[in-house]
Amino acid sequence: MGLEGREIEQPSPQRYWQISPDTELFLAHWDNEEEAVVYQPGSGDTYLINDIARRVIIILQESSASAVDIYDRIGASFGALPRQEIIAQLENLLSGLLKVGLVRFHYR
Amino acid sequence: MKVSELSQDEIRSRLQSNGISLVIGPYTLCVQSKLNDVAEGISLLYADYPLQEAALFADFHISIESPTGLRGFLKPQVNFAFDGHVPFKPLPREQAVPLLEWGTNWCIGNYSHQFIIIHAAVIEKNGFAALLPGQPGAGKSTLCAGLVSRGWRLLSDELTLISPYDKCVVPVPRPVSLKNESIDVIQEFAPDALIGPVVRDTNKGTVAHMKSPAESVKQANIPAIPAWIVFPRYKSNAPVTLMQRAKGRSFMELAEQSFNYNILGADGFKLLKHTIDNCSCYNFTYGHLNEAIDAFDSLPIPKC
Amino acid sequence: MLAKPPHSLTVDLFLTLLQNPDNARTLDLQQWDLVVRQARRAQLLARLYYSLERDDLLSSIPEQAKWHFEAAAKVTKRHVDSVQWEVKQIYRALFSVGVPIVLLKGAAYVMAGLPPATGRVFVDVDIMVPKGALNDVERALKRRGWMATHHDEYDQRYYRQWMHELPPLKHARRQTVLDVHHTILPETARLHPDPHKLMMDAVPLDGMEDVYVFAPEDMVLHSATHLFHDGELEHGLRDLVDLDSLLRHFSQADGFWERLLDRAVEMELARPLYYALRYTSNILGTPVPDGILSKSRQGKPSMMVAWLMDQLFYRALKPDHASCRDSFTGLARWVLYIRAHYLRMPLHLLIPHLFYKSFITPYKERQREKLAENQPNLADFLKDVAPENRK
Repeated sequence: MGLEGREIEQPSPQRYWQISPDTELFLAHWDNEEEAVVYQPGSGDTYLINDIARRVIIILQESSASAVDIYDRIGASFGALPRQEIIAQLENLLSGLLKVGLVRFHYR
Repeated sequence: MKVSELSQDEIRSRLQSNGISLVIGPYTLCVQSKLNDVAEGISLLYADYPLQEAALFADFHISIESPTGLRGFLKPQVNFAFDGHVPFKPLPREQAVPLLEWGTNWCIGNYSHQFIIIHAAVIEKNGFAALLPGQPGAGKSTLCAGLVSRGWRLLSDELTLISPYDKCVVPVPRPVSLKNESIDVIQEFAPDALIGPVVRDTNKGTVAHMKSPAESVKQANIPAIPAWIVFPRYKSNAPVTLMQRAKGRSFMELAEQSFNYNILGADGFKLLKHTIDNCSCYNFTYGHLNEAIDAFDSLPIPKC
Repeated sequence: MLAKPPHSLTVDLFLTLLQNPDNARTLDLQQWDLVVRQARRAQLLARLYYSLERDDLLSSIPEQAKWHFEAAAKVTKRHVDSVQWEVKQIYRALFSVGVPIVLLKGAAYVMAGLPPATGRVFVDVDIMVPKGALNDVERALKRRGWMATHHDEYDQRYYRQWMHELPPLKHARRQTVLDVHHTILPETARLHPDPHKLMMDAVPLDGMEDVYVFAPEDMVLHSATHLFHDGELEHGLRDLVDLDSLLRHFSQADGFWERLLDRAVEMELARPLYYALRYTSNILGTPVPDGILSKSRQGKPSMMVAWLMDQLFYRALKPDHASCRDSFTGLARWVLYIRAHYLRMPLHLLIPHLFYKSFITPYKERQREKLAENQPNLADFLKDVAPENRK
């Protein structure tokens, strides 16, 4: 897998992500498992999410953050991938969460 | 007073007038029917169930009747009515007794939001409950029937009810529905078990109901703590395998198998999470009932 | 001949409780059994729960019966949450179109926090937009995941040409239904309330730009018009209860009754208002001032019609339960169904429509949607138990 054919988003202005307003998210996670469950009270939707998504949500529950901020917090755990690649992947993941309505973004 | 204390005539006469009120777990079910096979079915399958004598309040008022008219004459049918309202298309006349069971499932599954309702069989031993979630073809009913014929208590064969107050499984023991080959399997496995009339050509194939063990009915007011969630898969002649499975996926599976997870909202999420937290989740394959029962008997008892 | 059905404690048990919740203290267990059943058929079980809660009477519900009420209330609470979410999504989808959106019926009650919102099940969301904006609105919604339903050419024409709304839109993921109207009665109907006037006087909703609900008088008139033109009186009592709550709530404002009368005349809706005030006060004890009742009689039909409507409505507005029927109830409902269609569509359009609906459409629908018929098949229901939407 590589970067061929895919544009890396140049975040200018930067997208700041947050949990969809008006609703909190409920997380369920069990030790050592790769997957977790998230529930959104407003829509009543329940999703099975992977570990990265879970950690991203936990960060956003504290405060809004950009993909770069998130990278700074947890980027190290992704091993030897280049920084830009990881940030691009995070933006991708956040777009996925956006699509199902779990997060929003605003520009700063 | 129990159903077995009434004569066949009395059962028939009550069914044809004000109805018979059966106490099934937390529910009082008032049944009316002019059909003889329904009277016989109740007399057989519900013999051990308490009756509510002066039936003042019933949770569900149902009736099983044959519709009149030309259609009924050409192709005899039977209808399930919930308090005078018919929610389903009629079935062929000979399916009256299975219809009583399916209709009752519908009532419980549709309205019981004081519990979370999961489509799973559930049985108990030593105070702990094992849930067998019901993917079609999984063989959960056969397994359930086998287990309750070997010392496990029947809590339910189709609808697991968990209470948000004490987080325990609420028993609602009812006739165990058996399909196709399972009927013969169970008849052989448990020759003492009472199996009701066999009905062919239903949407589910050939169907019969096994009477719930009397002890299970007697203990219907004793809840059980969920300890194991076992996803069964029957595979002919396969050896028994019991493998731990991820809780995340098990959660999603149970939510999918729940009739009212959506309706309960955040409370449903929390109750299901609590249940998963406190249960061991397994994938289970079996080919022989005896081996399956041994495996269940050896399930690790949770430390409290 | 037909007589007004006699008032009997058994038959009108539930109604009596609705009118006077205090009666809850005196009911015995057997009566509670009947109340639960009547209320459930009228789809008002949750409503009754909230009404008893408001008057601090929950303790008079016997233990055995309690769960029925609480379970019903859970369902309605979920519906309220669902409507709120749905309206937010609609708002976001239509934001860029820049037209005023008026929320109607259930969605309006929920978002404006009005009494009919509690204890109610809401199925569709109804909105009204200016007729000229319909295409843009439809396009914007389809971009955000709503899809057309009723693909049958006849149905499409029925809705677009003859009715007052787009064919219902269904959201692909959420499976929720949205009805987009451009007026409150079909253009083919005999009454023509002016949608422009309704929009001009609409009240903005807090927190959502360009989203409105009808002014109180218009909300009442819309509810009355919908009930007394609508054929499906299976929910008649429930809709009457909504009307009753709206009237009780809005009449707290000074001058409301006068404004209501004037507006009815202005919008040519004096007839539905007459029926509304007559039946809410007679059946539910709504405190309509005598003076207002007299004045509303200017909307009264001829004596013969008025008498006939009484026979029909007094029966059809009871819970659809065996204990509340007499031998004329079925006929009453059927006649009112025909009448409702008659009021919506001129006669020459009506007969072909009913014919088409009864005999051709079911066959076509069965071809296209084998499973989605009116009466679900029990065995399929139990076989495919994975719930409606995995949420």
